[in-house]
Amino acid sequence: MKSFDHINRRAHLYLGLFLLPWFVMYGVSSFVISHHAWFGAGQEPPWDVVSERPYEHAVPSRTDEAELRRLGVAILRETGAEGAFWAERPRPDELRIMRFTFWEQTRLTYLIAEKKLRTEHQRLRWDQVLLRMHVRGGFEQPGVLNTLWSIIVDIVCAAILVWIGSGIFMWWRLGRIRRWGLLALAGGLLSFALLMAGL
Amino acid sequence: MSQTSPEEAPVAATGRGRSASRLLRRLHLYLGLFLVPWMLMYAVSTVVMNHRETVRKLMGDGAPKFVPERELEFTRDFPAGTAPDEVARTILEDLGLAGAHRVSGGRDGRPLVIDRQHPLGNRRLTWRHETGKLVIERETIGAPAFLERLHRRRGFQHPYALEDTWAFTVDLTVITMVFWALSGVCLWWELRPTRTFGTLSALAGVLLFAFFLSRL
Repeated sequence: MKSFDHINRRAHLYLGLFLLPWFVMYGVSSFVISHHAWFGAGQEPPWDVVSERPYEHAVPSRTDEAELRRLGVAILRETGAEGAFWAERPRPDELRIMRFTFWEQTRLTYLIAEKKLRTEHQRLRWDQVLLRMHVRGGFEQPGVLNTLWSIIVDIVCAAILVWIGSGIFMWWRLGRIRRWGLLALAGGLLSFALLMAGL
Repeated sequence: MSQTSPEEAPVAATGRGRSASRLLRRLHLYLGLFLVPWMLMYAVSTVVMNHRETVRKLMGDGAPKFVPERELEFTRDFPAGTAPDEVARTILEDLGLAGAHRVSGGRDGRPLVIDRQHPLGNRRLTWRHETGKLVIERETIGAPAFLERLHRRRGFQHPYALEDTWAFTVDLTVITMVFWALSGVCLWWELRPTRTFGTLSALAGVLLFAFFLSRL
């Protein structure tokens, strides 16, 4: 029977190998987000108008967040563009749906009074792609794949807790370096606490 | 007392290889121990953000509220034409509250409002120049809002040493994440008995990630 020590080491290792792409993605994207000005923040890629056509869909005079989501789902289904999206109503006679993937986004603007639907497309820069991957999550978006991605986000978080716990256990088992490890751990905790108090 | 078992022993044969392996292991370990608080914070805050609606239902709306903390007279004079930003910085320094903040108002008779950002709850300072009255309010925030703010806090955009220090720790954490990934792969490869299953694990992860990238 495998010892706990063995299982602990293997869990730390194989979780790390399996989740390697996500971990690297979060690391690199975090750096880009933290220094976004270096990577062209504020310079939005151009929007290309794909089409502008007559379109009609009933829209209540008042729409809350839930109603906006329902309208977004319905309009995207009618236009054959189902998937992850955000919806807003910037003006009483305008409904805006932002349909997005990691790589691009499509903006559908429904001008209610004019009964017109404008579709625009934007190809994202690599730094925006990384940002999209980083912030993608939650369980509001339709579709199984969106839900699965969010589940994996949860798994990555759980894995981080496992890595911390299993890593501390592995360190503690190495009697020779307990003192240095304790210094590192205490140093980190103290630094964090001081920053919380002083910021 | 505890040594690694023979099968766990890395296969780096040469002296130099053994030193490099040992250095990699130690760095992997000590960086991990030092950055425990940051990694804990990022993991827990991500779960909170990933389940925002559920957290809101369980813990209430949690919208931050401002409660009065104190009121005092602040009658310092500023030269005509002093920018609101400069006035705000001076007020904060005089009160021992220097740090990251946003400023609004302070012109055309409107009171100067300073939002002093703090992880444990912002402070809002409202100063009316004509009366000299300075009202300080303290924000009460719940754990979810606190964690989310901490997760998003970054950047070198504020001219304060502690802000830069925090931004540096964020950089250290994210660079270390990439280091952990790469050093982890190197350390794994030294463990010959784990190569087969490790390769399968890594391949499965890469393929799954690639699949998501192609479909989402």
